[in-house]
Amino acid sequence: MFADLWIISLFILYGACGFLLLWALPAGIKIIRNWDFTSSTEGQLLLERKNYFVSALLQYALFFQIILLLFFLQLANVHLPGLIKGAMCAAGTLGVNAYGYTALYVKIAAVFIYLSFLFINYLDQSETNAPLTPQKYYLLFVAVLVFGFDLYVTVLYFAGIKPDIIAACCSVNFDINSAGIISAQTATQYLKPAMAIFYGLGLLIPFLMIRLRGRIIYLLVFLSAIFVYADMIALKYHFVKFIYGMPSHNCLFDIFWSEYYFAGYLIFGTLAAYLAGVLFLTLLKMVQVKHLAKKPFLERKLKWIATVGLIGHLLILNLYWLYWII
Amino acid sequence: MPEQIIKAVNVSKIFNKGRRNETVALQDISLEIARNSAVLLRGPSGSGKTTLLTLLSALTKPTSGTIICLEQDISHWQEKFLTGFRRRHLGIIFQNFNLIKTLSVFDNIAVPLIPLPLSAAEIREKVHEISALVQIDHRLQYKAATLSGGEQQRVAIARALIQDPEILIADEPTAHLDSRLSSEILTIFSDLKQRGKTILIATHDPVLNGHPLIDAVFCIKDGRLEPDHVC
Repeated sequence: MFADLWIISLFILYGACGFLLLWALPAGIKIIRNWDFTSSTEGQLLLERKNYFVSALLQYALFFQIILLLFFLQLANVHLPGLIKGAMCAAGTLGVNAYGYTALYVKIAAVFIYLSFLFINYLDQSETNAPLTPQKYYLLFVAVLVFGFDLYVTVLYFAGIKPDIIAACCSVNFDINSAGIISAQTATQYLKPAMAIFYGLGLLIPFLMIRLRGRIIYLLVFLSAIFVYADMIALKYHFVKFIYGMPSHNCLFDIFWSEYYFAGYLIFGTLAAYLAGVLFLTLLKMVQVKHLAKKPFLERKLKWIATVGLIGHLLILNLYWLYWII
Repeated sequence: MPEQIIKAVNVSKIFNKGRRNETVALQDISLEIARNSAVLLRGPSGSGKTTLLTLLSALTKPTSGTIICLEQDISHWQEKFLTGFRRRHLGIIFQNFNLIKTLSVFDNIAVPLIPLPLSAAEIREKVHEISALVQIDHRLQYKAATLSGGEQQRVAIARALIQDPEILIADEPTAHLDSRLSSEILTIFSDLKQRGKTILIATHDPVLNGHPLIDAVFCIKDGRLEPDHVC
Protein backbone atom coordinates (compact mmCIF):
# COMPACT_ATOMS: atom_id res chain seq x y z
CA MET A 1 0.00 0.00 0.00
CA PHE A 2 2.84 2.40 0.85
CA ALA A 3 4.31 2.02 -2.63
CA ASP A 4 1.22 3.60 -4.16
CA LEU A 5 1.99 6.88 -5.90
CA TRP A 6 -0.94 8.73 -4.30
CA ILE A 7 0.08 7.62 -0.82
CA ILE A 8 3.71 8.54 -1.52
CA SER A 9 2.45 11.99 -2.61
CA LEU A 10 0.46 12.28 0.61
CA PHE A 11 3.56 11.55 2.67
CA ILE A 12 5.54 14.11 0.66
CA LEU A 13 2.93 16.65 1.80
CA TYR A 14 3.45 15.40 5.37
CA GLY A 15 7.17 15.90 4.83
CA ALA A 16 6.63 19.53 3.77
CA CYS A 17 4.32 20.23 6.68
CA GLY A 18 6.55 18.46 9.21
CA PHE A 19 9.67 20.18 7.91
CA LEU A 20 8.07 23.61 8.39
CA LEU A 21 6.79 22.73 11.88
CA LEU A 22 10.12 21.29 13.00
CA TRP A 23 11.86 24.37 11.64
CA ALA A 24 9.51 26.60 13.63
CA LEU A 25 9.65 24.55 16.84
CA PRO A 26 13.19 25.43 18.10
CA ALA A 27 12.49 29.11 17.46
CA GLY A 28 9.23 28.78 19.41
CA ILE A 29 11.05 27.14 22.33
CA LYS A 30 13.72 29.86 22.31
CA ILE A 31 11.05 32.57 22.32
CA ILE A 32 9.18 30.94 25.22
CA ARG A 33 12.38 30.63 27.26
CA ASN A 34 14.07 33.97 26.51
CA TRP A 35 11.40 36.48 25.49
CA ASP A 36 11.72 39.81 27.30
CA PHE A 37 10.07 42.58 25.35
CA THR A 38 11.37 45.32 27.64
CA SER A 39 14.93 44.33 26.86
CA SER A 40 16.68 45.67 23.77
CA THR A 41 19.55 43.22 23.59
CA GLU A 42 20.69 41.73 20.29
CA GLY A 43 19.24 38.40 21.48
CA GLN A 44 15.80 39.93 21.98
CA LEU A 45 15.97 41.66 18.60
CA LEU A 46 16.78 38.30 17.04
CA LEU A 47 13.80 36.72 18.82
CA GLU A 48 11.51 39.47 17.49
CA ARG A 49 12.68 38.69 13.97
CA LYS A 50 12.19 34.97 14.62
CA ASN A 51 8.68 35.81 15.77
CA TYR A 52 7.89 37.09 12.25
CA PHE A 53 9.73 34.17 10.69
CA VAL A 54 7.77 31.53 12.63
CA SER A 55 4.46 33.10 11.62
CA ALA A 56 5.57 32.92 7.97
CA LEU A 57 6.50 29.24 8.42
CA LEU A 58 3.13 28.51 10.01
CA GLN A 59 1.31 30.22 7.14
CA TYR A 60 3.02 27.84 4.73
CA ALA A 61 2.33 24.91 7.06
CA LEU A 62 -1.37 25.85 7.02
CA PHE A 63 -1.28 25.95 3.22
CA PHE A 64 0.21 22.44 3.10
CA GLN A 65 -2.19 21.18 5.77
CA ILE A 66 -5.21 22.35 3.73
CA ILE A 67 -3.75 20.68 0.62
CA LEU A 68 -3.08 17.58 2.74
CA LEU A 69 -6.70 17.46 3.94
CA LEU A 70 -8.13 17.90 0.44
CA PHE A 71 -5.66 15.40 -1.01
CA PHE A 72 -6.49 12.82 1.69
CA LEU A 73 -10.19 13.31 0.98
CA GLN A 74 -9.62 12.87 -2.74
CA LEU A 75 -7.41 9.85 -2.09
CA ALA A 76 -10.05 8.17 0.09
CA ASN A 77 -12.93 9.18 -2.12
CA VAL A 78 -11.57 8.61 -5.61
CA HIS A 79 -8.35 6.60 -5.61
CA LEU A 80 -8.69 4.06 -2.78
CA PRO A 81 -12.10 2.74 -3.94
CA GLY A 82 -10.21 1.41 -6.97
CA LEU A 83 -7.88 -0.55 -4.71
CA ILE A 84 -10.21 -1.77 -1.98
CA LYS A 85 -12.80 -4.34 -2.99
CA GLY A 86 -16.36 -3.31 -2.33
CA ALA A 87 -15.62 0.32 -1.52
CA MET A 88 -17.18 2.93 -3.77
CA CYS A 89 -16.25 6.13 -1.99
CA ALA A 90 -14.64 7.41 1.22
CA ALA A 91 -17.55 6.04 3.29
CA GLY A 92 -16.21 2.58 2.50
CA THR A 93 -12.48 3.26 2.37
CA LEU A 94 -12.34 5.21 5.64
CA GLY A 95 -14.37 2.54 7.37
CA VAL A 96 -12.03 -0.35 6.52
CA ASN A 97 -10.34 0.00 9.89
CA ALA A 98 -10.60 2.00 13.09
CA TYR A 99 -8.16 4.73 11.96
CA GLY A 100 -9.72 6.05 8.74
CA TYR A 101 -12.24 8.49 10.17
CA THR A 102 -9.87 9.49 12.98
CA ALA A 103 -7.27 10.40 10.35
CA LEU A 104 -9.83 12.60 8.59
CA TYR A 105 -11.02 14.33 11.76
CA VAL A 106 -7.48 14.99 13.01
CA LYS A 107 -6.60 16.62 9.69
CA ILE A 108 -9.62 18.92 10.00
CA ALA A 109 -8.67 19.71 13.61
CA ALA A 110 -5.10 20.51 12.53
CA VAL A 111 -6.37 23.12 10.03
CA PHE A 112 -8.32 24.86 12.80
CA ILE A 113 -5.30 24.75 15.15
CA TYR A 114 -3.07 26.42 12.53
CA LEU A 115 -5.83 28.96 11.88
CA SER A 116 -6.04 29.68 15.63
CA PHE A 117 -2.29 30.25 15.88
CA LEU A 118 -2.23 32.51 12.86
CA PHE A 119 -5.19 34.54 14.08
CA ILE A 120 -3.64 34.99 17.55
CA ASN A 121 -0.39 35.88 15.83
CA TYR A 122 -2.24 38.44 13.73
CA LEU A 123 -3.68 40.03 16.89
CA ASP A 124 -0.26 39.93 18.53
CA GLN A 125 1.42 41.68 15.64
CA SER A 126 -1.31 44.30 15.46
CA GLU A 127 -0.18 45.69 18.82
CA THR A 128 3.00 47.70 19.32
CA ASN A 129 4.16 45.61 22.30
CA ALA A 130 3.42 42.03 21.12
CA PRO A 131 1.16 41.25 24.14
CA LEU A 132 0.46 37.63 23.17
CA THR A 133 4.10 36.57 22.82
CA PRO A 134 5.39 34.16 24.07
CA GLN A 135 2.08 32.60 25.21
CA LYS A 136 0.91 32.03 21.65
CA TYR A 137 3.77 29.59 21.10
CA TYR A 138 2.13 26.99 23.35
CA LEU A 139 -0.27 26.53 20.44
CA LEU A 140 2.71 25.64 18.26
CA PHE A 141 3.36 22.67 20.59
CA VAL A 142 -0.27 21.62 20.18
CA ALA A 143 0.13 21.89 16.40
CA VAL A 144 3.24 19.70 16.49
CA LEU A 145 1.54 17.11 18.72
CA VAL A 146 -1.53 17.02 16.47
CA PHE A 147 0.74 16.69 13.43
CA GLY A 148 2.53 13.74 15.06
CA PHE A 149 -0.74 12.08 16.03
CA ASP A 150 -2.14 12.66 12.54
CA LEU A 151 0.91 11.07 10.93
CA TYR A 152 0.76 8.12 13.34
CA VAL A 153 -2.94 7.49 12.74
CA THR A 154 -2.57 7.85 8.97
CA VAL A 155 0.32 5.36 8.88
CA LEU A 156 -1.77 2.92 10.96
CA TYR A 157 -4.71 3.50 8.61
CA PHE A 158 -2.76 2.67 5.46
CA ALA A 159 -0.91 -0.19 7.16
CA GLY A 160 -4.24 -1.65 8.26
CA ILE A 161 -5.82 -1.66 4.79
CA LYS A 162 -6.20 -5.18 3.41
CA PRO A 163 -7.17 -4.82 -0.25
CA ASP A 164 -8.40 -8.42 -0.50
CA ILE A 165 -10.95 -8.10 2.26
CA ILE A 166 -14.24 -6.76 0.93
CA ALA A 167 -15.10 -3.42 2.48
CA ALA A 168 -18.59 -2.37 3.42
CA CYS A 169 -19.49 0.76 1.53
CA CYS A 170 -22.88 2.38 1.45
CA SER A 171 -24.17 -0.37 3.69
CA VAL A 172 -22.41 1.41 6.56
CA ASN A 173 -24.94 4.16 6.14
CA PHE A 174 -27.80 1.83 7.00
CA ASP A 175 -26.15 -0.48 9.48
CA ILE A 176 -27.41 0.30 12.99
CA ASN A 177 -24.02 -0.60 14.50
CA SER A 178 -21.96 1.07 11.83
CA ALA A 179 -19.13 3.48 12.38
CA GLY A 180 -19.05 6.39 9.94
CA ILE A 181 -19.99 9.95 10.66
CA ILE A 182 -23.41 9.28 12.21
CA SER A 183 -24.95 5.87 12.62
CA ALA A 184 -28.25 5.02 10.88
CA GLN A 185 -29.88 4.35 14.27
CA THR A 186 -29.15 7.88 15.44
CA ALA A 187 -30.46 9.25 12.20
CA THR A 188 -33.76 7.42 12.12
CA GLN A 189 -34.44 8.29 15.76
CA TYR A 190 -33.40 11.88 15.62
CA LEU A 191 -33.95 13.13 12.06
CA LYS A 192 -37.08 15.15 12.87
CA PRO A 193 -35.63 16.86 15.98
CA ALA A 194 -32.37 17.34 14.11
CA MET A 195 -34.21 19.08 11.27
CA ALA A 196 -36.02 21.28 13.78
CA ILE A 197 -32.72 22.19 15.44
CA PHE A 198 -31.10 22.73 12.03
CA TYR A 199 -33.71 25.28 10.97
CA GLY A 200 -34.22 26.74 14.45
CA LEU A 201 -30.55 27.42 15.03
CA GLY A 202 -30.06 28.37 11.39
CA LEU A 203 -32.45 31.27 12.04
CA LEU A 204 -31.38 32.02 15.62
CA ILE A 205 -27.61 32.13 15.05
CA PRO A 206 -27.57 34.98 12.47
CA PHE A 207 -29.83 36.96 14.85
CA LEU A 208 -27.43 36.26 17.75
CA MET A 209 -24.54 37.26 15.51
CA ILE A 210 -26.11 40.69 14.97
CA ARG A 211 -26.73 41.11 18.70
CA LEU A 212 -23.35 39.66 19.68
CA ARG A 213 -22.22 41.29 22.94
CA GLY A 214 -19.99 40.21 25.82
CA ARG A 215 -20.37 36.58 26.77
CA ILE A 216 -22.99 35.75 24.12
CA ILE A 217 -20.07 34.41 22.08
CA TYR A 218 -19.79 31.42 24.45
CA LEU A 219 -23.48 30.68 23.95
CA LEU A 220 -22.82 30.92 20.21
CA VAL A 221 -20.00 28.36 20.48
CA PHE A 222 -22.32 25.98 22.35
CA LEU A 223 -25.13 26.48 19.83
CA SER A 224 -22.68 26.06 16.94
CA ALA A 225 -21.60 22.67 18.29
CA ILE A 226 -25.25 21.55 18.46
CA PHE A 227 -25.89 23.03 15.02
CA VAL A 228 -22.99 21.14 13.44
CA TYR A 229 -24.22 17.84 14.86
CA ALA A 230 -27.81 18.48 13.71
CA ASP A 231 -26.46 19.71 10.38
CA MET A 232 -24.59 16.44 9.80
CA ILE A 233 -27.75 14.40 10.47
CA ALA A 234 -29.88 16.70 8.31
CA LEU A 235 -27.31 16.69 5.56
CA LYS A 236 -26.74 12.95 5.51
CA TYR A 237 -30.28 11.71 5.98
CA HIS A 238 -32.26 14.47 4.31
CA PHE A 239 -30.51 16.93 2.01
CA VAL A 240 -28.00 14.71 0.16
CA LYS A 241 -30.90 12.68 -1.29
CA PHE A 242 -31.89 15.79 -3.24
CA ILE A 243 -28.35 16.38 -4.44
CA TYR A 244 -28.09 12.83 -5.78
CA GLY A 245 -31.73 12.70 -6.86
CA MET A 246 -31.99 9.26 -5.22
CA PRO A 247 -34.10 8.73 -2.08
CA SER A 248 -31.90 5.94 -0.71
CA HIS A 249 -28.48 7.49 -1.32
CA ASN A 250 -27.28 8.64 2.10
CA CYS A 251 -23.60 9.33 1.52
CA LEU A 252 -21.63 12.38 2.59
CA PHE A 253 -18.72 11.74 0.25
CA ASP A 254 -20.14 11.32 -3.25
CA ILE A 255 -21.11 15.00 -3.18
CA PHE A 256 -17.40 15.76 -3.65
CA TRP A 257 -17.44 14.06 -7.06
CA SER A 258 -17.55 15.90 -10.37
CA GLU A 259 -20.87 14.14 -11.20
CA TYR A 260 -22.42 16.31 -8.50
CA TYR A 261 -20.49 19.42 -9.50
CA PHE A 262 -18.21 19.21 -6.44
CA ALA A 263 -21.16 20.43 -4.31
CA GLY A 264 -19.50 18.99 -1.20
CA TYR A 265 -16.67 21.53 -1.36
CA LEU A 266 -19.19 24.36 -1.43
CA ILE A 267 -21.35 22.86 1.34
CA PHE A 268 -18.46 22.12 3.69
CA GLY A 269 -16.51 25.19 2.59
CA THR A 270 -19.34 27.51 3.70
CA LEU A 271 -19.67 25.56 6.96
CA ALA A 272 -15.92 25.88 7.52
CA ALA A 273 -16.13 29.65 6.89
CA TYR A 274 -18.87 29.88 9.52
CA LEU A 275 -16.92 27.82 12.04
CA ALA A 276 -13.70 29.77 11.40
CA GLY A 277 -15.63 33.02 11.94
CA VAL A 278 -17.01 31.76 15.28
CA LEU A 279 -13.57 30.43 16.30
CA PHE A 280 -11.90 33.78 15.59
CA LEU A 281 -14.64 35.75 17.36
CA THR A 282 -14.18 33.48 20.39
CA LEU A 283 -10.41 33.94 20.33
CA LEU A 284 -10.86 37.70 19.98
CA LYS A 285 -13.01 37.63 23.11
CA MET A 286 -10.69 35.29 25.03
CA VAL A 287 -7.27 36.83 24.41
CA GLN A 288 -8.26 40.34 25.62
CA VAL A 289 -6.11 42.59 23.48
CA LYS A 290 -6.91 45.84 25.19
CA HIS A 291 -5.55 48.44 22.82
CA LEU A 292 -6.34 46.84 19.48
CA ALA A 293 -7.56 49.84 17.50
CA LYS A 294 -9.13 47.79 14.76
CA LYS A 295 -10.99 45.42 17.10
CA PRO A 296 -14.49 46.75 16.26
CA PHE A 297 -13.69 46.57 12.54
CA LEU A 298 -12.29 43.05 12.93
CA GLU A 299 -15.33 41.96 14.92
CA ARG A 300 -17.67 43.29 12.23
CA LYS A 301 -15.69 41.55 9.51
CA LEU A 302 -15.67 38.21 11.37
CA LYS A 303 -19.40 38.41 12.09
CA TRP A 304 -19.94 39.09 8.41
CA ILE A 305 -17.79 36.10 7.36
CA ALA A 306 -19.53 33.76 9.84
CA THR A 307 -23.02 34.95 8.89
CA VAL A 308 -22.40 34.77 5.15
CA GLY A 309 -20.86 31.28 5.62
CA LEU A 310 -23.87 30.05 7.58
CA ILE A 311 -26.49 31.60 5.32
CA GLY A 312 -24.61 30.33 2.26
CA HIS A 313 -24.54 26.84 3.77
CA LEU A 314 -28.28 26.89 4.54
CA LEU A 315 -29.09 28.37 1.16
CA ILE A 316 -27.15 25.80 -0.88
CA LEU A 317 -28.78 22.86 0.93
CA ASN A 318 -32.27 24.29 0.70
CA LEU A 319 -31.93 25.23 -2.95
CA TYR A 320 -31.18 21.58 -3.79
CA TRP A 321 -34.24 20.56 -1.81
CA LEU A 322 -36.47 23.25 -3.34
CA TYR A 323 -35.31 22.26 -6.83
CA TRP A 324 -36.83 18.82 -6.29
CA ILE A 325 -40.06 19.76 -4.55
CA ILE A 326 -41.09 22.66 -6.83
CA MET B 1 7.14 77.15 25.74
CA PRO B 2 7.63 75.66 22.24
CA GLU B 3 5.97 72.34 21.46
CA GLN B 4 8.26 69.32 21.99
CA ILE B 5 8.52 66.94 19.06
CA ILE B 6 11.11 64.56 20.56
CA LYS B 7 11.70 63.85 24.22
CA ALA B 8 14.21 61.43 25.73
CA VAL B 9 14.01 60.60 29.44
CA ASN B 10 16.89 58.81 31.21
CA VAL B 11 17.81 56.92 28.07
CA SER B 12 20.65 54.40 28.29
CA LYS B 13 22.00 52.06 25.68
CA ILE B 14 24.21 49.16 26.65
CA PHE B 15 25.55 46.78 24.02
CA ASN B 16 26.23 43.12 24.91
CA LYS B 17 24.65 43.61 28.32
CA GLY B 18 25.76 41.09 30.89
CA ARG B 19 28.62 39.78 28.77
CA ARG B 20 32.35 40.29 29.10
CA ASN B 21 32.37 42.73 26.18
CA GLU B 22 29.54 44.87 27.64
CA THR B 23 29.72 48.44 26.34
CA VAL B 24 27.82 51.35 27.82
CA ALA B 25 27.26 53.60 24.80
CA LEU B 26 24.84 56.05 26.40
CA GLN B 27 23.96 56.73 30.01
CA ASP B 28 20.96 58.60 31.41
CA ILE B 29 20.42 60.94 28.49
CA SER B 30 17.49 63.32 28.88
CA LEU B 31 16.74 65.94 26.28
CA GLU B 32 13.88 67.73 24.56
CA ILE B 33 13.74 68.94 20.98
CA ALA B 34 11.26 71.62 19.96
CA ARG B 35 9.18 71.41 16.79
CA ASN B 36 10.59 73.31 13.81
CA SER B 37 14.01 73.72 15.35
CA ALA B 38 17.46 72.65 14.20
CA VAL B 39 19.41 70.79 16.85
CA LEU B 40 23.07 69.86 16.83
CA LEU B 41 24.42 66.76 18.59
CA ARG B 42 28.10 67.44 19.07
CA GLY B 43 30.94 65.39 20.44
CA PRO B 44 34.16 63.63 19.53
CA SER B 45 34.27 60.39 17.56
CA GLY B 46 33.00 57.45 19.62
CA SER B 47 31.18 59.70 22.08
CA GLY B 48 27.77 58.12 21.35
CA LYS B 49 26.31 60.66 18.89
CA THR B 50 25.37 58.09 16.27
CA THR B 51 23.96 55.72 18.91
CA LEU B 52 21.75 58.51 20.25
CA LEU B 53 20.73 59.39 16.71
CA THR B 54 19.75 55.79 15.95
CA LEU B 55 17.65 55.73 19.14
CA LEU B 56 15.92 59.02 18.37
CA SER B 57 15.31 57.90 14.79
CA ALA B 58 13.69 54.63 15.97
CA LEU B 59 16.36 52.48 14.35
CA THR B 60 17.20 50.78 17.64
CA LYS B 61 15.58 50.57 21.08
CA PRO B 62 17.01 51.86 24.35
CA THR B 63 18.18 49.47 27.05
CA SER B 64 16.31 51.64 29.52
CA GLY B 65 14.53 54.96 29.55
CA THR B 66 11.78 56.42 27.40
CA ILE B 67 11.76 58.05 24.00
CA ILE B 68 8.67 60.02 23.06
CA CYS B 69 8.47 61.08 19.47
CA LEU B 70 5.46 62.95 18.08
CA GLU B 71 3.65 62.27 21.38
CA GLN B 72 4.09 58.50 21.09
CA ASP B 73 6.25 56.38 23.36
CA ILE B 74 8.30 54.45 20.80
CA SER B 75 10.83 53.03 23.28
CA HIS B 76 9.59 49.44 23.12
CA TRP B 77 7.65 48.97 19.93
CA GLN B 78 7.82 45.91 17.72
CA GLU B 79 10.15 46.41 14.76
CA LYS B 80 7.30 46.40 12.27
CA PHE B 81 5.69 49.41 14.02
CA LEU B 82 9.02 51.24 14.21
CA THR B 83 9.48 50.69 10.47
CA GLY B 84 6.06 52.17 9.76
CA PHE B 85 6.75 55.07 12.10
CA ARG B 86 10.05 55.87 10.40
CA ARG B 87 8.43 55.65 6.99
CA ARG B 88 5.64 58.05 7.92
CA HIS B 89 7.41 60.60 10.07
CA LEU B 90 11.20 60.50 9.74
CA GLY B 91 13.68 61.22 7.00
CA ILE B 92 17.14 59.84 7.72
CA ILE B 93 20.38 60.84 6.03
CA PHE B 94 23.11 58.33 6.80
CA GLN B 95 26.76 59.16 7.22
CA ASN B 96 27.73 56.95 4.27
CA PHE B 97 24.59 57.90 2.31
CA ASN B 98 23.51 54.22 1.92
CA LEU B 99 22.56 54.73 -1.71
CA ILE B 100 22.02 51.75 -3.99
CA LYS B 101 24.97 52.30 -6.28
CA THR B 102 23.68 50.30 -9.22
CA LEU B 103 20.39 52.21 -9.42
CA SER B 104 19.86 55.59 -11.03
CA VAL B 105 19.42 58.73 -8.97
CA PHE B 106 15.72 58.72 -9.86
CA ASP B 107 15.27 55.15 -8.57
CA ASN B 108 17.26 55.83 -5.39
CA ILE B 109 15.05 58.79 -4.54
CA ALA B 110 11.89 56.81 -5.38
CA VAL B 111 12.79 53.79 -3.20
CA PRO B 112 10.76 54.91 -0.10
CA LEU B 113 7.68 55.30 -2.29
CA ILE B 114 7.68 51.63 -3.38
CA PRO B 115 5.33 50.41 -0.59
CA LEU B 116 2.86 53.24 -1.19
CA PRO B 117 -0.13 52.98 -3.50
CA LEU B 118 1.10 55.66 -5.92
CA SER B 119 0.93 55.68 -9.70
CA ALA B 120 4.09 55.95 -11.81
CA ALA B 121 3.08 59.50 -12.75
CA GLU B 122 2.68 60.51 -9.09
CA ILE B 123 6.08 59.02 -8.23
CA ARG B 124 7.66 60.84 -11.16
CA GLU B 125 6.13 64.12 -10.07
CA LYS B 126 7.29 63.75 -6.46
CA VAL B 127 10.84 62.77 -7.47
CA HIS B 128 11.14 65.74 -9.84
CA GLU B 129 9.83 68.14 -7.21
CA ILE B 130 12.23 66.96 -4.48
CA SER B 131 15.23 66.64 -6.78
CA ALA B 132 14.68 70.23 -7.93
CA LEU B 133 14.56 71.36 -4.28
CA VAL B 134 17.98 69.85 -3.53
CA GLN B 135 19.31 70.74 -7.02
CA ILE B 136 20.05 67.24 -8.26
CA ASP B 137 17.38 67.14 -10.98
CA HIS B 138 19.99 67.36 -13.75
CA ARG B 139 21.44 63.98 -12.71
CA LEU B 140 18.28 61.89 -12.37
CA GLN B 141 19.24 59.30 -14.99
CA TYR B 142 22.82 58.87 -13.75
CA LYS B 143 23.85 55.83 -11.75
CA ALA B 144 24.46 56.72 -8.08
CA ALA B 145 27.98 55.25 -8.30
CA THR B 146 29.01 57.86 -10.88
CA LEU B 147 28.17 60.87 -8.68
CA SER B 148 30.52 63.02 -6.63
CA GLY B 149 30.31 63.06 -2.82
CA GLY B 150 28.29 66.28 -2.79
CA GLU B 151 25.86 64.95 -5.37
CA GLN B 152 25.44 61.70 -3.45
CA GLN B 153 24.69 63.73 -0.34
CA ARG B 154 21.95 65.61 -2.22
CA VAL B 155 20.45 62.33 -3.42
CA ALA B 156 20.46 61.06 0.17
CA ILE B 157 18.70 64.25 1.31
CA ALA B 158 16.16 63.96 -1.52
CA ARG B 159 15.44 60.34 -0.58
CA ALA B 160 14.98 61.35 3.07
CA LEU B 161 12.56 64.11 2.06
CA ILE B 162 10.52 62.28 -0.56
CA GLN B 163 7.76 61.35 1.91
CA ASP B 164 7.60 64.84 3.38
CA PRO B 165 8.65 63.78 6.94
CA GLU B 166 8.17 66.06 9.93
CA ILE B 167 11.63 65.27 11.27
CA LEU B 168 14.89 65.14 9.32
CA ILE B 169 17.78 63.31 10.96
CA ALA B 170 21.28 63.63 9.54
CA ASP B 171 24.38 61.79 10.71
CA GLU B 172 27.57 63.66 9.82
CA PRO B 173 25.99 65.29 6.74
CA THR B 174 29.09 67.30 5.90
CA ALA B 175 31.74 64.70 6.71
CA HIS B 176 32.61 63.91 3.08
CA LEU B 177 32.22 67.41 1.70
CA ASP B 178 34.52 70.37 1.20
CA SER B 179 33.61 73.69 2.80
CA ARG B 180 31.77 75.01 -0.30
CA LEU B 181 29.59 71.89 -0.60
CA SER B 182 29.03 71.83 3.18
CA SER B 183 27.78 75.37 2.98
CA GLU B 184 25.40 74.43 0.13
CA ILE B 185 24.00 71.51 2.13
CA LEU B 186 23.46 73.76 5.15
CA THR B 187 21.62 76.21 2.90
CA ILE B 188 19.29 73.37 1.91
CA PHE B 189 18.77 72.56 5.61
CA SER B 190 17.96 76.21 6.35
CA ASP B 191 15.40 76.16 3.56
CA LEU B 192 13.85 72.96 4.95
CA LYS B 193 13.67 74.48 8.43
CA GLN B 194 11.80 77.42 6.96
CA ARG B 195 9.38 74.93 5.48
CA GLY B 196 8.55 73.71 9.00
CA LYS B 197 10.82 70.69 9.34
CA THR B 198 12.59 69.74 12.57
CA ILE B 199 16.23 68.97 11.88
CA LEU B 200 18.52 66.90 14.04
CA ILE B 201 22.18 66.81 13.05
CA ALA B 202 24.96 64.78 14.63
CA THR B 203 28.43 65.97 13.72
CA HIS B 204 31.88 66.79 15.00
CA ASP B 205 32.46 69.08 12.00
CA PRO B 206 33.31 72.61 13.30
CA VAL B 207 31.59 74.16 10.25
CA LEU B 208 28.32 74.04 12.23
CA ASN B 209 29.69 75.81 15.30
CA GLY B 210 27.73 79.00 15.75
CA HIS B 211 25.89 78.51 12.45
CA PRO B 212 22.64 80.55 12.31
CA LEU B 213 20.70 77.39 11.34
CA ILE B 214 21.25 75.82 14.77
CA ASP B 215 18.82 76.58 17.61
CA ALA B 216 20.20 74.23 20.26
CA VAL B 217 23.34 72.21 20.88
CA PHE B 218 23.67 69.00 22.90
CA CYS B 219 27.18 67.98 23.76
CA ILE B 220 27.87 64.27 24.25
CA LYS B 221 31.03 62.86 25.72
CA ASP B 222 31.65 59.28 26.84
CA GLY B 223 27.98 58.52 26.45
CA ARG B 224 26.77 61.32 28.70
CA LEU B 225 25.27 64.74 28.07
CA GLU B 226 27.76 67.41 29.11
CA PRO B 227 27.65 71.21 29.28
CA ASP B 228 28.20 72.80 25.86
CA HIS B 229 31.73 74.08 26.61
CA VAL B 230 33.06 70.52 27.18
CA CYS B 231 32.76 69.76 23.46
